[in-house]
Amino acid sequence: MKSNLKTVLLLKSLFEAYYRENDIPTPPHFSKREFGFMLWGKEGMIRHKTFYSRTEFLTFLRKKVPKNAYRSAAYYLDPEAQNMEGKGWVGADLIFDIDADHLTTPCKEIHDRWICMECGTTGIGKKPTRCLNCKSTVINEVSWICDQCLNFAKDEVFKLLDFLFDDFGISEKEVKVVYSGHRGYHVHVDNEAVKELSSDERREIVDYISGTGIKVENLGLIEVSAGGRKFIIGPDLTSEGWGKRLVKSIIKVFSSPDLDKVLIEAGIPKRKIDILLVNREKVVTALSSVPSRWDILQGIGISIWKNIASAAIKKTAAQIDEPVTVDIHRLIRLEYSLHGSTGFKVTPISVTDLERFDPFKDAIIFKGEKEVIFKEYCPEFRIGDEVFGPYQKGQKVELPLSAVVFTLAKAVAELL
Amino acid sequence: MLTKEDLAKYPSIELARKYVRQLNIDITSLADEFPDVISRAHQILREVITRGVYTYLASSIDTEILAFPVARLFIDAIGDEWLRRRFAVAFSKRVGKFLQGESNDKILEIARMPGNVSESGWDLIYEVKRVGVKYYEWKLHFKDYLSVAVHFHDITWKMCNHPVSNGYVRLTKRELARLMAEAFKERILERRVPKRFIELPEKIARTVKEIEELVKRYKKEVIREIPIKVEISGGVYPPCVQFILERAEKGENLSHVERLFLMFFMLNIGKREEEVVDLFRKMPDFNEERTRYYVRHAKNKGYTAHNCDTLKTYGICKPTHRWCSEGRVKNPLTFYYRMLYVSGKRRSESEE
Repeated sequence: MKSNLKTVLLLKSLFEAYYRENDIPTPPHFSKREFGFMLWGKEGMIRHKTFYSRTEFLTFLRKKVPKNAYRSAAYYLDPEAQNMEGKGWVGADLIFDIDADHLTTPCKEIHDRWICMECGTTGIGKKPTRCLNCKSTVINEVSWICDQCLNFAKDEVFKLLDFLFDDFGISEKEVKVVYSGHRGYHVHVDNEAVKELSSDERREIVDYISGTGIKVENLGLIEVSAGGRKFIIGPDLTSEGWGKRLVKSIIKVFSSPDLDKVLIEAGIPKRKIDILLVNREKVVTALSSVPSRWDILQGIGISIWKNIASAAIKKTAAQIDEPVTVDIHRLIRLEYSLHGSTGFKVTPISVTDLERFDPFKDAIIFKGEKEVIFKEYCPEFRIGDEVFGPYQKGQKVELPLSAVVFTLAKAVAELL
Repeated sequence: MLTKEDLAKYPSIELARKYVRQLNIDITSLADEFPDVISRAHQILREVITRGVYTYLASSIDTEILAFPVARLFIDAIGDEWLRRRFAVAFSKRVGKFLQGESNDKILEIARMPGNVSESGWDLIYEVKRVGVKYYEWKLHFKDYLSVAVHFHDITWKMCNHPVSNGYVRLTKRELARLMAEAFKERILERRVPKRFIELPEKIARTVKEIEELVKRYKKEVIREIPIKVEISGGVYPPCVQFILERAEKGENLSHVERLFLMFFMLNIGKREEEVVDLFRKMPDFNEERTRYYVRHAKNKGYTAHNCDTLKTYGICKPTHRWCSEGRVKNPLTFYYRMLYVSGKRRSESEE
């Protein structure tokens, strides 16, 4: 959806004021990074840009006032070279992207919309494969953000951090969490051990964190025979890596009120679910002991435990966007720049502040008021402590400037 | 502390290279003064070519140490990639066996020393931990583990299937020996002298010529040098199969799972036993009898090809075609049959 000229001019002038009034910090090793920018009213991206001084960097931002600004995760000998071979790749930070768009959240069914580009039919929730009216496949998805989906994304960040700290031995000071300014978070790891990892090696790290390819037998969950009897043995809380995570996750599942739902989803037969539900506390105690005891329930054999383990693994794995981590030439959003689709600040957050971080408050920068007209239906949203909307198409409303920028940047409203 | 015998067992390590350099022997004097070394290098390569094994002669340590760089020089002079791989694989298998019987101190010394398993040496620690029924004796930093383990496509080598804590991956002695052996192989494949820079005295050039002839003969008789009969690009195979075929054509060592997958896939689309065996002839460790047994067994059992989801977990999936990236096929065989249908349709349309 295109914005009108007046809207673009207002947004650009607000962005311009932000870049003029704030000394945007340069990212670490900035002279070895490639930068990329998208400009207001222009298609495509300026790539292969580099800066040799902080002044040059600030002058560029103030003069060009980018709609979106990016920088490479990689360091190059010659970041300005027009092709990857010529750049001379030296290394790259390890980057993870957690995007609410890729997470299954209930709120999507409330605030996401789709529009058929052939007949204009609209609908709420995930886009269908074919338009419900004209059967066309050319359908645009209009995604929205709310507290719920950004909190889901934050939960995934916490899961990811747990892997990085406990399993990979990365320290807190080597990790930077950045709110992307829109649907999620980026996690940057700046550590000597990860700099030179190849794409394949980074993919293996993604597989580790997302639990892809786990065989529970390799975590120690097996059936053994002794004295003519079969026993189930498995990892315990003193195990390491996924073994320990598996035990912790099963204990958590058995301690949660949703146990029956998880067991049904795991495909456990009804009769076995009844046994497990009756003995839930017994399971928690047996798995919490060291060594753990897996062979405690008559009728619950190794195949049932394996199914439970698969469900528990899914709950513990962090949902990260693989292509972002694997691409060692990737451009990611420049910290402290403004996101062109929201007007929110791309905000670095320390690990200790992450819990308290509120994107609808802490990434908001604009102050003042303006009247807008809604050109599309606008779902409810929150800026700071105030909740706005929903607004209907054609509705005229005076809003605080941050809310104005958000609705203009999301292209659901325009200036009068 | 490594002994001279250790240098003979692991002649690619830095200390062995240093030892050879200190002897200050040039290639001309080698032929005149150390004919044993030349004939041992010749023997090593003969065995590597015909049997795929790198033997060990404990009786003459100096000869054994020197024969290794000479054999590598011969390989560089011949410039044949199949031979280079077959040599690296055979040497790595020998190293793996030796390492399994080695003391912990020696393993530590070899792994940590820069230049042996990697440029800077591995961050390896000896520490025993029992997990279930398994005893882990070693822990290796994840960056070193990944540098080698990504070459294995077997699911047991995925990092998530090992205990990992505080940056280290736990390994049994057997697993560590296998990883180190693979690292030795990779180092051999990395280091090479271009053919044009090699000048050999007449006597040695004759030996090299003999080895070259043997390579040609072996390839003609056993590998049969038939190009793998597949349409490598623009064909009807899914990208995962094409990728494996391209590597098989180059003579790269395929993992166990890749071999099984290729075998099941080809049998399922109706390839004959002989055609499937031919696909594996360029493998550096090709053994006709064993390959034929596997192919026949798979055929009799009627195994189907792995599903896309399974291939993903093995890292074999290469979703470069949109049917794959959009999740429109669940099994590579579906891709094949659908592509066959589409291309057949296209052909008949163009004929009309």
